Amino acid sequence: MTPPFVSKTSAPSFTSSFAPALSRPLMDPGGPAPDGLTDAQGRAAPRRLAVYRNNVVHGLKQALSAGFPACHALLGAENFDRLASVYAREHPPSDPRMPLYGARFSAFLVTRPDLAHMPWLPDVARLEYSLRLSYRAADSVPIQASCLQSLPPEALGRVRFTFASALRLLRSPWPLRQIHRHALNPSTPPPRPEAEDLLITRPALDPRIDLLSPGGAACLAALMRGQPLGSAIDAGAAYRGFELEPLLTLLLSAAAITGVAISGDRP
Amino acid sequence: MPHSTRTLPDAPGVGYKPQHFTALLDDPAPVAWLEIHAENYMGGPGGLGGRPLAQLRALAERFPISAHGVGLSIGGPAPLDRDHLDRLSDLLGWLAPASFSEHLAWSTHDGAYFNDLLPLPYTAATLACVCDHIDQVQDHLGRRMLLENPSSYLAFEQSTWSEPEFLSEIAHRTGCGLLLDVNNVFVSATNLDFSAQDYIASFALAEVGEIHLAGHAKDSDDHGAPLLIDDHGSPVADPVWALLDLVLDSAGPRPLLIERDNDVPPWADLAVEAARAGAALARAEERTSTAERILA
Repeated sequence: MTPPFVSKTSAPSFTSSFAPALSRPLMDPGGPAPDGLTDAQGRAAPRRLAVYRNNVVHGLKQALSAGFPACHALLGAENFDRLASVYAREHPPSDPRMPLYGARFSAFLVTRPDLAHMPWLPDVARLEYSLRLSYRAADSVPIQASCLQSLPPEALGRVRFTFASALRLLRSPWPLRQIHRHALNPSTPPPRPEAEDLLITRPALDPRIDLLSPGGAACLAALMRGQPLGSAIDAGAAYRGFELEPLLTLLLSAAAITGVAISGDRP
Repeated sequence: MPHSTRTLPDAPGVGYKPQHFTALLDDPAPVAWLEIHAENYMGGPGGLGGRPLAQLRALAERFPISAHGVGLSIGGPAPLDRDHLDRLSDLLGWLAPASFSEHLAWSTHDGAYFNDLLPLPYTAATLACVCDHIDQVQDHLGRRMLLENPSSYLAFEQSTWSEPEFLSEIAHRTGCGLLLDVNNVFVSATNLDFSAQDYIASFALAEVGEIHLAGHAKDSDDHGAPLLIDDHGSPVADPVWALLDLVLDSAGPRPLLIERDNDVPPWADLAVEAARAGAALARAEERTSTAERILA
């Protein structure tokens, strides 16, 4: 119980500290309500404070379920809601761009011992967040296939690429694309146990998911790090069955390459 | 030059929802302008592109746009987020909207964004702080902004200003305009037991550049008193339409927005509400011109 004199002396400072005083109970439902918040008759009104708390937590949970629909489907509404509440309290947004909220959801799911039976779930969250970023990423102008064909063959090993900002590469030990598709549309075939490397691109207005062939991800990862095509091919060739041509055809058809330069030149 | 450089017309507008994009371009009647939430059109590193950008560009060619911010935290004691202000400046720079508005509320504290419009006490100290923030916003953006009255669920013991007086003083000190949310007035009046009509009577209606209308939900507080929740999840309630008529009688026609953010209905249902707003504006115009005839 707070003695009355504390409330009196704390009132003036509350004018400048209303934000910290209100922030704590917003995220901690068990915490004490701040002084000086009342109904119209001057009576304490915890349910009124709860409106703000519910708005905050409900709004953040809603943003997460809209942003991670496959995770929502895989967990079921009740489990997702419980996890989203914990995430919202532990990791509230760091700025007002709500379409970007949830960057750490995948890493958060990894830490949950109660999800040990769903080891693929963090990768599904990673895929969904990547799709969201790709959907909103800045527009870019792709190069044409003729641009590659016009390069002198002896210089190909020294070629470096730049990529569209909508491009994402995801490597997973799980059949990630199949799990994602099956979660959103249960009439699709159930996932087969196999690793999947995925390429996300946005040829027009909607992101597209393609499966990469063996070595494709290693090769593309090297290219995305700015390495020349020669060493990227070496990285891909470490995998049995690696082929360069299907990878380049896929990248070109998906409008994913935005620049080409030969080593020494600026890309 | 985008269409949206024009001023907002004294006509119905709606809060834009992407699911209504095709319907709006097909036949927007009776809607004459659109409002977007600025934060939905801010990109990550590298900026915004894709469908959100393409749709906003197409809409801005066709409609006057009101950019409505929800994240500046103008009413908070912390300094404004300069990165956020820069992102806002970038958006308003290329979009050139007819109007920019924000809230008398705060939403950010200690690095956390709460995604809600939180209340502040109305005192000399908070007045000075809000005015300082609005000066910074208007300087940074190089334009006048509108400030919206909040919906309230509780009272602060230490408040020494009434809300209409507080808003009026802010407009006077900073030169900003006001956005009058009539549903918020009704919700706050019910929740804090004051007269909505008296609130309107003491509001600086001459500074109002836009009016909001939305639906609310009904609940009750710890003592069984009615507690209305401003949830934008249902059609505008009848007492709010009645309060709108009172506002338009005094203020004359203004840009009138139907906001719907939850349980968003098909376009046809929103168009019916926008038409009702249009009818209220037409009646107000009729009354204004009759009054002018009598006075002449």
